[in-house]
Amino acid sequence: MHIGFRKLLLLLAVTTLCLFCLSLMLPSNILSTNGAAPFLLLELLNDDTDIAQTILIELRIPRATLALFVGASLGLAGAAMQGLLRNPLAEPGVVGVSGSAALGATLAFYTGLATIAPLALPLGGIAGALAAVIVLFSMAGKRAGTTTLLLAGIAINAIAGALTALVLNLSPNPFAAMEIIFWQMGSLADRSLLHLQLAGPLMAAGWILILLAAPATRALSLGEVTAASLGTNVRTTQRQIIVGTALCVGAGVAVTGVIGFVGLVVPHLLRKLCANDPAKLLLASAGGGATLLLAADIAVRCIPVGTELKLGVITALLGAPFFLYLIFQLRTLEQ
Amino acid sequence: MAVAKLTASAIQCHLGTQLALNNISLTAEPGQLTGIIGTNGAGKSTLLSVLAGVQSNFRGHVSIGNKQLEQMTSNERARHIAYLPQNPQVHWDLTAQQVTELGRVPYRRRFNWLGPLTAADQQAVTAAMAATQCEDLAPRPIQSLSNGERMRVHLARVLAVKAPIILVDEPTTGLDPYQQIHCLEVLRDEARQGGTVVMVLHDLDLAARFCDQLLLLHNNQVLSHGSPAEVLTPAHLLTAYRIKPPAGLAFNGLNLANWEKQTD
Repeated sequence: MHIGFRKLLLLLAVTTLCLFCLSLMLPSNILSTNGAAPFLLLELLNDDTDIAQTILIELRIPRATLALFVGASLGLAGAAMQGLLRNPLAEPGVVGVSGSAALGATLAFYTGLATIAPLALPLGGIAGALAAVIVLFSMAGKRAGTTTLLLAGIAINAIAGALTALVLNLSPNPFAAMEIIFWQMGSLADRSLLHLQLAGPLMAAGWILILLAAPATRALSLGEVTAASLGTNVRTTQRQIIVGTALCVGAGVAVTGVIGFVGLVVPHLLRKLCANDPAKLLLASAGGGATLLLAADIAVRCIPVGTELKLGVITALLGAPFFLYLIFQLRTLEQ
Repeated sequence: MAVAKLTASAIQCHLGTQLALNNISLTAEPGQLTGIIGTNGAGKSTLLSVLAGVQSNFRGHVSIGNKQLEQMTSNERARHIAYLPQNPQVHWDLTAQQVTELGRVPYRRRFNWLGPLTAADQQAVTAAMAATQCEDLAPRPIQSLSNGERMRVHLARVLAVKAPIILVDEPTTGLDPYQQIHCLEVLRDEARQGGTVVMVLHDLDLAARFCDQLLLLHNNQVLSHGSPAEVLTPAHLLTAYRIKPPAGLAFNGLNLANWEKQTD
């Protein structure tokens, strides 16, 4: 398939817009439309009561916007990490960045910091993500074989998992622990305008940093030395991507929990359409991530099961086999 | 293309705790093809990376014309020096065309990275690919090419920069005999058109044939410096490489295929 890059971006933008509108129209669970409350957007618009407005402003808009923001962040962060580590398997969830962000956010919850200052929640997530990216980059940044990268990811995931388990273990209140566990599964349900206000600007800052580094990722595909000889400031580029990724993933995970594999699947599907250009892939992956997460969030609301499926559960169910398939493909390539 | 003389004086460089370059000076003139030769580990590639400005850990001075390298912005430097490192790599499966286009990175405007190449960029890329006979490879993914074909694409990428100074590290690696000669002819043409070309080369026969001046490194120092006839003497080659002309035969030219190892 061959379509121009501009057309691809346009297509992604239009799809994202359509899905965004659809997301605004749908209630949090399609089954409960049997109930009495107004749910679909049309009903809401015909209804002048405060409840209708409240539902739209307090629930639907934050949910759809967060799906858009977090999806774009995860897609962008995935493509950025792949450019940075020069490995198509580098993905925030797989290599433990999301897990560390979750740990940071959990700590902000647990210590009560998040109650005193709500901003502590995304900042905790960003701190966790930043620590993970820095460790990962120092281990696998230079000449990362796939094995080193994945082993580093396993180790970081294990450490983050162990510490999170410790926090849950020490939690005096079983209900609080329960809440944290559910939150970690990753979902957009019941997120408020406050969450969007807290995390949105931080994610946007991450996008800007990553996109500033975008042109340099092209030269970096020839390796650090050649990139430097072509006038690229390699250190600055790497720092922009590291901090940008931490902002995107950290702030996103802090409000939605861990939604894995978006950053793996999206760049993989779009890479060919961007002619393998790592710079173009960044922009396209942001659009693709937003599209995917909006669609997945609509899907979880439409699947008729009693309890709402968590978004993170769905992306993991679909993404993990895909991950296995990619490893398999790479293995045959490397042989 | 502007012409520029490349001067390095008193270069001292450590890689880790190892002394890699010890008090090396070199002047490469526009119009000349300068060859750096020496045994494995003699410091050739390190010297080239210092000249290219991608090695920060050294003492001494490198200047282009009368301007010191460290006073240039990285972009200014990139437009003056095209550099092909040893074992060049491509981490994504770009096409040969895309790799060559990366030679134009120093000229691209920062906020126009999604737009197409300018006509001048396009022309430089096409000319570079034609010079290295890479036109047929243009649409092919770089990972699908043979080592020699990849090397030609990398050379095209270097030529596409259209820099007055060209630094290439073993550009003939993996090339067949025809392409080795062609590669050196292309570099000599660049020099004849006013370019300053410095290359690291292992093949002494080719070095003798194409280079205007040679720098022979031995134990991280300059053993000999001058025209090929001055540098490639049996005495120098015995000291540096521990090889000697076949017994009983007078030394006439190189023809290394007949040479023997020194026996202690």
